[in-house]
Amino acid sequence: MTATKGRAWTFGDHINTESILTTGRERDLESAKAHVLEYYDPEFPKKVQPGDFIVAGRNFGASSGRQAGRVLKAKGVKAVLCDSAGRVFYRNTWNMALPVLQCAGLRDKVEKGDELEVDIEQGTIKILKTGEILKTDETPAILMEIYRAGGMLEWIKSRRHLYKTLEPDLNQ
Amino acid sequence: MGGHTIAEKILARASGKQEVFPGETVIVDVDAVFMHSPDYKFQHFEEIGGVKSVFDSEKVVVAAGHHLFLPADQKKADAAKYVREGCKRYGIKYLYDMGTGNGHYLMVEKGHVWPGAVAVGSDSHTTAYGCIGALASPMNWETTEVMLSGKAWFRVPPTILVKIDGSPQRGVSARDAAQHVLNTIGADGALWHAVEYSGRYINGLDIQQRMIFSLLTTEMGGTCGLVEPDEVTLAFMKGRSRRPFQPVYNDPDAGYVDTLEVDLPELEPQIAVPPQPHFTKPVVELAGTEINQAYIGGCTGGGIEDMRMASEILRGRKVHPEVRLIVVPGTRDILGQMLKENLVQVFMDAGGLVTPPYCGPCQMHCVGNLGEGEVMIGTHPRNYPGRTGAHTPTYLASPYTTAAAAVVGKITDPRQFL
Repeated sequence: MTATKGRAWTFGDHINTESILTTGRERDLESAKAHVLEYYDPEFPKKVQPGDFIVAGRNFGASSGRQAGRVLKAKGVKAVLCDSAGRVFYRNTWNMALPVLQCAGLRDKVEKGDELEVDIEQGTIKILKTGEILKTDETPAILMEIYRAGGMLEWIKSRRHLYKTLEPDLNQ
Repeated sequence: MGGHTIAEKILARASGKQEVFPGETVIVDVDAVFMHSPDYKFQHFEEIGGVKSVFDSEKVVVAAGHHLFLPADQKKADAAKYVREGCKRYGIKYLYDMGTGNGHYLMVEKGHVWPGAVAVGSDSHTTAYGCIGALASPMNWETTEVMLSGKAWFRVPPTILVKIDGSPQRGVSARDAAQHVLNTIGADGALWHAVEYSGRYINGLDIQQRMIFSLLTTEMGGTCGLVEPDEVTLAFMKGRSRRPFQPVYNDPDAGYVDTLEVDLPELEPQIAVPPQPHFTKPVVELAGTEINQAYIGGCTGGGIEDMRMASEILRGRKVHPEVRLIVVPGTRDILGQMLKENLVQVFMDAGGLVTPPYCGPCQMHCVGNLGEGEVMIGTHPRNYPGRTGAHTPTYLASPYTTAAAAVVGKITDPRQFL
């Protein structure tokens, strides 16, 4: 059972990473968390609950390739659901073991506060108020593998013998 | 069977395949890895444990002076120290420290990339190096893994062709043309795509002006932006490339998913309005908007031609008394050329500040920050909220338009000064 229920926080198109992780807060996660996405929704940093979802329009995570997903993850966001995501944000965030599921047309069907049930392995989003189940775009196999390992760092550790740049066994 | 684009051919060669097709996932050998502030990547190395070195000491380049230029507080000073120590510890040979320049100009100028190379970088503007026909793409968080394996995965991008022919009006520059293309394609119009820039106008530009196009491709969501190598490219690379190389060209029957033709003679000076770089209007529509700071520099405005354009307007004129003008050369070599051409004197006489080379006040790094509510116009690539403050409206334009605004104190059509 991989499905998880949570509430939706809705955003528009082209939400940029600098509004998720403001310049000047890159080396201060607590401060970044206190201001995350406040430009677009001042309530978000104060009221988002662990297990909630972001539901956004096109190109969520546009612009800079900073560690924006890390702030969302630290706030307990369970997954980013969007019509589409910025390419670097998408790659980065899956590598942090925070899923980004893309589904064109999703944003128009969801309102702020709606309850959703999301199955990351199956790639489905159920909108509980209507019962509609949406199928998300297929996630590249390599990103699913990294996600299942617990993110890029855990994935590297789990296959360290494949890297000639790493000591094969840390205990030696 | 149809021919292939440069992007497809570079990815095929780098993945050891005969040919690859858009949509396919490939794993490629990487020729260059760029980073400016890799402190969190080195923290990753510590977390992984047992990291002996990066995959190739010649292929990883750190430009610490890009952001961590003259650290203004203890936290940044410590970050810079940690980056320097990490470079030594992990065998990274090329460290460009304070005063050397903006990392994107340095990667190209110092020959760390070449036509046909694959480069990835921990900066979303890594698409820049497509200006010489390299396939260059931002990867950010994943550069930790690339530094250990020397490999990266790509989804082979379909290519959009942009053709720009004809001569621009006086006062219209490459930035105006690139800004127009960004506006037309849109902020996600090239998501997971390559964009290739061609036409006689592009071929007539120097490498740094071509970089404006490849770099701004990232603002369209693109995987990479490319210019097919030509005589200008090969002359530029002579004696510069750190590796012998075989340029990669398009097949004559290469397949494009879309083509955009720009009618250059008709184009007026363009300006991006806050809060997103693709919101573009003709400058005349914004005329009269007051500004507090004007900035010539950044990875789309720190080239020698940018400095020449700005100086055309500023020579013999004064910066408006209520405006601060900051000029940031892209690299030390560019600053050297400005000194030879007496351009530093021109900017100083006008009342501007010329800083050593670094990435500039495109965001709140080091110097040139804006006060709450202040308005900036600059030649840099981005104006999103959260870069220079949440409420600091920022306009993006050519060196001509930026310099003209510095003189008048308001956004102004620069053609009246030319």
